[in-house]
Amino acid sequence: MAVIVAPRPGLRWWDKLYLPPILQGLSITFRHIFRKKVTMQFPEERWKYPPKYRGFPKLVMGENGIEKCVACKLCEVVCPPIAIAIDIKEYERQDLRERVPAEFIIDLGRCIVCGMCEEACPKDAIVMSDEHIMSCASREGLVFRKTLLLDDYHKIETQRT
Amino acid sequence: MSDTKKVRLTINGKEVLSEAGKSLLQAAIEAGIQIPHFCYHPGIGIEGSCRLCLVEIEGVAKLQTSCTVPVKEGLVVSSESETVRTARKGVLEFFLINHPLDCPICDKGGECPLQNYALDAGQSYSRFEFDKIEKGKHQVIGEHIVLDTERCVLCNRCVRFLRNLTGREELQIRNRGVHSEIFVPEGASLTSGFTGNLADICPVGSLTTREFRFRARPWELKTIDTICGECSLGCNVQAWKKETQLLRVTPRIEPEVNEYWLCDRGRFSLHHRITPDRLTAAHKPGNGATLASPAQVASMIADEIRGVPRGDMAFVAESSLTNEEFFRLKKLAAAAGGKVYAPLSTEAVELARKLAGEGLSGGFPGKLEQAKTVLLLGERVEEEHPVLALRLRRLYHAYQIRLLTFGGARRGFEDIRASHTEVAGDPESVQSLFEKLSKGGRADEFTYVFLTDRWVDSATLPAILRCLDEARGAGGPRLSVSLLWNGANAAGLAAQWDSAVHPTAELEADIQRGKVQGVLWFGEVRGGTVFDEYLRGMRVFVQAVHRLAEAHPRARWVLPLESGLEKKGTYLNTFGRVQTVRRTVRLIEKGYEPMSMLRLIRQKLGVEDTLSVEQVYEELAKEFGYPKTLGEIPESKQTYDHYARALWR
Repeated sequence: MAVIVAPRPGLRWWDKLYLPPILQGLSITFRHIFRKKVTMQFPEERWKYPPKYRGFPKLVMGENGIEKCVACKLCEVVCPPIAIAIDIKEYERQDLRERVPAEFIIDLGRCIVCGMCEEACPKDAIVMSDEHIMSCASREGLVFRKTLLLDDYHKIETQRT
Repeated sequence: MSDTKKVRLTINGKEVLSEAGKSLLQAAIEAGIQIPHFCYHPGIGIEGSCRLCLVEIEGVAKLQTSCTVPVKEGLVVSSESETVRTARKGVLEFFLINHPLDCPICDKGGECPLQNYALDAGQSYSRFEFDKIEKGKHQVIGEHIVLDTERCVLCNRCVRFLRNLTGREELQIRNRGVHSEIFVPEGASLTSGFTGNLADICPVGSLTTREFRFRARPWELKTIDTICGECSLGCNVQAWKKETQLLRVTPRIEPEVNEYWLCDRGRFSLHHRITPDRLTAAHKPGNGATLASPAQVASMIADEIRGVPRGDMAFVAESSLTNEEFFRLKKLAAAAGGKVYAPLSTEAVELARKLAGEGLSGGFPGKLEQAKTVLLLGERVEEEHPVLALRLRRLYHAYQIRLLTFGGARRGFEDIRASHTEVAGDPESVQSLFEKLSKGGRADEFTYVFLTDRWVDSATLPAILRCLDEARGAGGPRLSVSLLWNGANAAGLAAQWDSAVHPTAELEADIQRGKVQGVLWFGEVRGGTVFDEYLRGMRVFVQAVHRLAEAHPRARWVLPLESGLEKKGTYLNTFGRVQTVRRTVRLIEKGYEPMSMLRLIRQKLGVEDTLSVEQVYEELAKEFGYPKTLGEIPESKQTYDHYARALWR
């Protein structure tokens, strides 16, 4: 094979200093100081989540201060990683509601945020929230029970272990 | 009856062989063809009101209800043609018009024929634009049943079941059209003792059991087949477990025992047998410390037994012991040189042996349908053998059998007054009745006689034996005589009765004569009986009970006892059928259950025994001619689910 010599531009004394390109780059940086920032101060600032955004599941409160969930266990059986466990009980006021969950547990460590539970629910009682961060110091802390799931749970981060 | 004529017809292009007298629907179900239906139930009968079982018959203009059309040679039937499918969709649409949207809260969800038919054969939309009719919701009727009138599809199964099989019209339908509803008539309540079956037969979630209300979904549950241990009929059941907890018990279909039914006492027995206060390990009263191990407990008990003079140790069995447990108890008694006592009478055992030996006994082998006359001798048959009473009532309504009962005020069957005749109790009347029954009547008719074990005593036994001899010689209608034992495995104990076994009635006399210094007692000691008094002076008193509270105050050792739902082994039912009993839950710590303790105590007395339950059974099978291994005992796996289990399972 023949050897081809690549032509290289000759460097003038200006170029050999290397300082001018640095100053050129810095001027771009300097201009940015006076421009509007696109950086969002997360987690204090958040963007507006689209309506169909799929975060972790949460339970929905219904009429009369009773959760909408009737413990039908459709979400439990459809959940691919089996993250949901539900116990049923008869509600005290049978005239208002016959059936409520005695306990509703979602192991958010198992949850894959697929949204099947929201699709399966016949009562719109479980929805995918906007919450997508789940930081925790232990795996046990990620097992959320009914009261936590009904609440605005991203606001009570400090209460989780 | 002579063999019924076979009929050949075609259903959905498939050639089906059936018997004359059956309906198209029955023939289809037996051939494995699924035709949706609500109002027909094989144990209740034909109604023809739901209109869901419509089929197309070649040559017949309109669709016919397959449940009412008898099979005929050469019929060509289609249950899947376009016309039939459209009709089915229409009928289902009508059912769903006023049916409430309760599936999420309804207990039947997951095992609901209506859900499954709607998914398979219904349309996915509704054309109904108005408000649905509102009716009574979640009404508690009776001790075990909740009624939700809105969900009812008016199949009438519950009304027919209660009226024809239990003899009490405790549910009726009132009003017309969309306002029709099930209700409990004024002055009535669900007291039949068979109300649990209503939840099984109701094809929707209208009638459900209180015990199972809101407990679990059927897909979460595992089933274990076993035998109800509440009476000697040994009804075949399925126990449903969620993980380790037993939630409900439903019947398995066994034509030779319980057909499709369970009595309430048996069905709901789990709730008072499996309780948190059960004894789970051995207990020594007065010793607060926990005991070390089953082997050590056995060692201490064996030492005490050795302290009793040989021949003075009594081993008292109870009728809920399995065949294997009783076998081991007898072996233990032999090792200790003691006597075994069983709660049976010698006369009853003798009669049972004679009946079995003559091939006269057999109880239910299918031929009960051929009975012309049924003679019930004894009291409280309805209380002690509920499902037998249910079956007899169904026969009375379906085939108009003659039902003769003997006994005092408690003989039952008051609703069949017109047919049944009271028979006086003295042996002479019974003998003359036997004579009348064994003559007259056709040779292919059956006369079934059921005697309770208490009715057989030294006075009546000779009369019965004489009658049987004469009846057989007379060549009249075929006679079948069955003894109704009292107690889950009383028949099993009777089968293993030999010279080493004595009636518990003799125990009192033996104690009085000072011939008993120690007892190993299975079960509770009835308070206030003479035993209560005598047992206070025993040198050795080991008792096996379910709960500590049930132990006698003078018991020196209390061992845990399993209930019928926790035992592993076999029961012999009162008609001589050996049936497999399986452990549905384990409450007792491993090693403390009777099978294990009996083996360990015998071992500490010097006799080695390493047989497993299966091996003990095989010994018994050899001796009594049962199926050779536990796995070979035939049992029904069928439950009447027509479409109740979703097809994807």
